[in-house]
Amino acid sequence: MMLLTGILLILLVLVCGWQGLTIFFTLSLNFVVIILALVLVAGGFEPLMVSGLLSLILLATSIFMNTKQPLTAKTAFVTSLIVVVVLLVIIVPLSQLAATYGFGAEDAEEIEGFGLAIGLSFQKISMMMIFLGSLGAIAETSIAVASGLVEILEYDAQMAPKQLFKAGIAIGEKIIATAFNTLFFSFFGSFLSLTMWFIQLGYPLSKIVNHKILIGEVLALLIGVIGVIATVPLTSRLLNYFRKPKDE
Amino acid sequence: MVKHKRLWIGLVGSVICILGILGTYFNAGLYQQPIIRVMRVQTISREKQTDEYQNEDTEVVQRVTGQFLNTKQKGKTITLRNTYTASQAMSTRYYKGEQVFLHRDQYLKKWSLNEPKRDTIIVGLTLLTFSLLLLMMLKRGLMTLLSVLVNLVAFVLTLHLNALTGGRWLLPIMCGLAIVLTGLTLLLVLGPNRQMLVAYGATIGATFLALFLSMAVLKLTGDQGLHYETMAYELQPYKTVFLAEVVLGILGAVMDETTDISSSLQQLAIEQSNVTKAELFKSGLTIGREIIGPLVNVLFFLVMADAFPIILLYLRNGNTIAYTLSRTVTLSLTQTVISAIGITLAVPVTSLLASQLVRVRR
Repeated sequence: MMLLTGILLILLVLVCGWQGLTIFFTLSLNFVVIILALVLVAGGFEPLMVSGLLSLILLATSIFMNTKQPLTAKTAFVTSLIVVVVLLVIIVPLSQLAATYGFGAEDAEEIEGFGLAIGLSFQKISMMMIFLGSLGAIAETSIAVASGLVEILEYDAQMAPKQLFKAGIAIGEKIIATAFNTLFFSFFGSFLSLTMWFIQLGYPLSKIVNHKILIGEVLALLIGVIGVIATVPLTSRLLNYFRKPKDE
Repeated sequence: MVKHKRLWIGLVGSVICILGILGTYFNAGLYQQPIIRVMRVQTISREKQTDEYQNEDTEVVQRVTGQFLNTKQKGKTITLRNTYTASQAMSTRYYKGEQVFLHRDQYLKKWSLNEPKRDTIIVGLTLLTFSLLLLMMLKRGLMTLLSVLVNLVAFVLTLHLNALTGGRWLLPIMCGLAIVLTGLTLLLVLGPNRQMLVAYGATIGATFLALFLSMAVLKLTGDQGLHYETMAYELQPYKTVFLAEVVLGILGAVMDETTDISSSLQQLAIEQSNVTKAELFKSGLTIGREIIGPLVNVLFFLVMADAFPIILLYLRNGNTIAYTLSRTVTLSLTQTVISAIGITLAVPVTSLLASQLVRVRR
């Protein structure tokens, strides 16, 4: 694993120059921040408060440290924050309705021997998970749209707001489709073993469509997609708003 | 014209969403397992408990009264006891109005509450998301949905094939699946054009380069420090399942990246007709550099989020942070590193292919 990490570092520097070091450093920093957040939650801090703080820090690190272009970074950061706050409004009731929090029957072997009455609200922890899962995709989408638009602006700084918005949606359409795929394939990857389990043990469809772990994960996936969809027009609009705050 | 289309999609989408929600809300008759609707919930007792690590939790016993919605008992009411802990790690608290599956113990001839019915919420949300996709992207949204459905079917069929062959060919089968799924997805999302070829070549190239590189390194270091046995659901052979998971998981992200770069470059070529190949390559690298970090973060966050419950369980059961991490996230981190290698490799590969192939209008 150390060797692999070393290879990654070398590749990053080769492809991105010194910025590669920043990417690597940001990733490590994010890891430390996430673990720190978990330690805080384990230490009894309110999970939703910690999630809010976590989102703010992770968005700041992953956007500002990865993006040199100030306009791209600012637009992406503000957009992501707005979308995350809006998502909170959907996540709370949905998580309650779906009741997918905690461990499933298939996890029994893994958690054997652990005390389960640990005094943490697993409902809130599952909200934290949905938050973190959608955060990356939202930030990535808004950066991609904003950086594509800024790239266009570099060639044509006088482009009309309406035309720029249209270009944003055009870039965004493809990005939504692929961001959807990012989330979807990652879901495939993490569900490979569970699906194999379903097939080997011959789970009936009626059980699968009500399955705690599966539904929990699909829920997170769909909320992430909704977040990504909302991000595209918002990014284009905000970029128009930010690009010349004084002239127009 | 487009506005009218959106209006119609919005209307039809809402109607389908509502139909889907109503349809699954009243579909108890389709299930063989008995379902009740909870009509009344009373808390009978609450008992505070403290475990050996000073974790305080509350054990609650509730009396749940419900009415059968299907089977021969339809219409009858039943009252059952349910015990849950306030943290709900494995137990569930039931609320009034919920629909709940029942389980009948054949030996004791007793009913017990099994788990909540979840199809209504998931069908509702799925339809809502699909409608939003269509509303936002019209034709391309349709293609995206189509690609998702095709991918899902191919995924399930391939796993059946894998089960038929006894799982011996898991990795080759999954690599084949990866090649097919990437082709299908890009074809449906981008259409049959040059950009699609660029994205396809770059995605497959970068993904397999990363896979082979990682396999070689893992072999070389003898999987040092990796606890494959800590994988969820413990399916054998661990390492093959792990690698297959990584390949599938990374694919979407690499496609995302190659499409982002090539689509931005094409947009650029359309907006700026006198751009040169070298400029395109440089722009590709610039765009790519900004995408690598966020994209690795996407996968990293998803992988880490999955590990939250188990990490917290370890921490709250009196384990040190170091031990907890070694048992819960080393594999997640390795997965992230392999993904990151693929994502990084994809940038120069895509920029090179795109700068050569994107059509520049003269």
